[in-house]
Amino acid sequence: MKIFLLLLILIFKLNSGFSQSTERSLSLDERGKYIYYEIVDSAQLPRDTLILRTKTFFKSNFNKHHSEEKPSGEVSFKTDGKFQINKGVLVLSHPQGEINYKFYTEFKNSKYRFWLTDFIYRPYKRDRYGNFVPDGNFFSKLEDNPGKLNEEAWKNNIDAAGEQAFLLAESFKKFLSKNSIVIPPKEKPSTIINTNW
Amino acid sequence: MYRRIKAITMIMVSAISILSAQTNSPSEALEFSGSVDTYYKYDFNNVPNNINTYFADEHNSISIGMLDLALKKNSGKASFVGEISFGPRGTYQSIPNAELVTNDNGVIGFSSFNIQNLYVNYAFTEKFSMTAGYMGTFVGYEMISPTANFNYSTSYLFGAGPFQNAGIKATYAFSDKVSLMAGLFNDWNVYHDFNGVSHIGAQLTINPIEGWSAYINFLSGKSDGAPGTGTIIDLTTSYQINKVFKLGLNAADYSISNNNGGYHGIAVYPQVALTPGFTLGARGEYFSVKDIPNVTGDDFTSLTLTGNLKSGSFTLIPEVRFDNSSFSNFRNENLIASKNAAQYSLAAVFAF
Repeated sequence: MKIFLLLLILIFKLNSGFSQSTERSLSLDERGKYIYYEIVDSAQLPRDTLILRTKTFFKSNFNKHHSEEKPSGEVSFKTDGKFQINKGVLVLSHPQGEINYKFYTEFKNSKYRFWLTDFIYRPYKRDRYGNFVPDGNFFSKLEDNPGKLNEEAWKNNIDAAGEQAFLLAESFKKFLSKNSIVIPPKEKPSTIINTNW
Repeated sequence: MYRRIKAITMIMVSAISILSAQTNSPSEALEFSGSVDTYYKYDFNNVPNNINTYFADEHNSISIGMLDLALKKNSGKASFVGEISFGPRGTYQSIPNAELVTNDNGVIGFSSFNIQNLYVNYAFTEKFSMTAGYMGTFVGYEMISPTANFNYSTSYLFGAGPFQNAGIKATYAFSDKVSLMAGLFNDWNVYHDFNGVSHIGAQLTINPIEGWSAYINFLSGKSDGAPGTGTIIDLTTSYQINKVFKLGLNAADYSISNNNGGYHGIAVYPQVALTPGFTLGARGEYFSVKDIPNVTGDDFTSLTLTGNLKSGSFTLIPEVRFDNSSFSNFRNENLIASKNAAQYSLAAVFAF
């Protein structure tokens, strides 16, 4: 019985490790494009704090970003990013390609919303030195038809984009809602032999 | 028995938990990749080894290419790549003498595997890095690995040039568009050099616009037992003009000093993606062996039409090839010298 339970845990681990993407899949928006979209109620935190933290998050995670404040008081952020998609599982994997995306955030009253969209897939190929590098400037929108022969591989890319978007969203929300962290100054290591003895 | 099964199951559960956690950092994860390929070739004159280029050379036989296994690991600024191959394409068809197998009686054969890449890299800064070890050559358009080439058979230029270079090289990126590599290398295609580190090499990389890359390569040195210093100057470039059309070009000149010959040639590689899963391409090549005293070099022209039908990791490669030589280097169906030869091949390549 115990072995049976352990095997069940093993199967569950394998499934949860490799198949989480089905719960985190992307939706289609009114333009027919894949999107990850969330609205977050942020009444507990001052709006200025949220905006400041968003700036910090964007600065530390993306090369550059664009922000805009409308006369109505709405503040928006926009940036470009990319996810690396791996092929295989666990240690038997390697980079397969990257998915470029646009990341938008808007603040209004006591809530904010963010969404990732305009996903573009760029395949990698292995170069002569064994490194995986972008395959020229070949790219495809995630909404493009991959053809029947590549349908399954393409579905995996969409699932992977959903999974990565979910992880980024979790990280973003956590960063905005976290308490301020005070980093204590580093203590100077004490020396064994000194003049004060 | 019961305890053993229980222990094994618990170890597997723990291992999967640990490995799942470790894969959250892909840039530092151990990368594992490789390929397998097999093919059938038929020479239209029913002559074995008629078009004597590298690989896909066995006539009217379902033959194997190679099993290729590669590992890569990044750790901070350092990384390594180790790539090993088994099978004809990765061993005696490409590097017959990379490592001889010997015993007290002398040479008894060739090793059953070959190293494709085995090197360590250290990136001192984002722009400057150094690499040492045994690496795929920086010269030329085509490669040994079937996953890296569009055509399954290879060009004369590929066969005449180096496959691998052991050495130490430094690379500096002036910008996203320009970088320069310079290094010291062993003789071509050998793990160790019997006449010392004998070659110098350099590569200027230019990426003028998105999708266009160009490499100007230089390699010069005197190999062990060679009659003179060999110098190769090579241009390799490819441009993905749009989503459908790609154009590649390779041109090279190789000369051995003291009038000891060499070769020069040019090959163009147009490719058209007809559907998301099928691309049709051609390779047109001119290759000329340089004259040496009392021997006139031969000239070859070759046209290869290749399809790539892709389904995920699997690629089916039908190919037809027509070759011509100025000196009747081929044989017709009656085994009489002929200036022309043609072949058909169908290859299956799986990359993982």
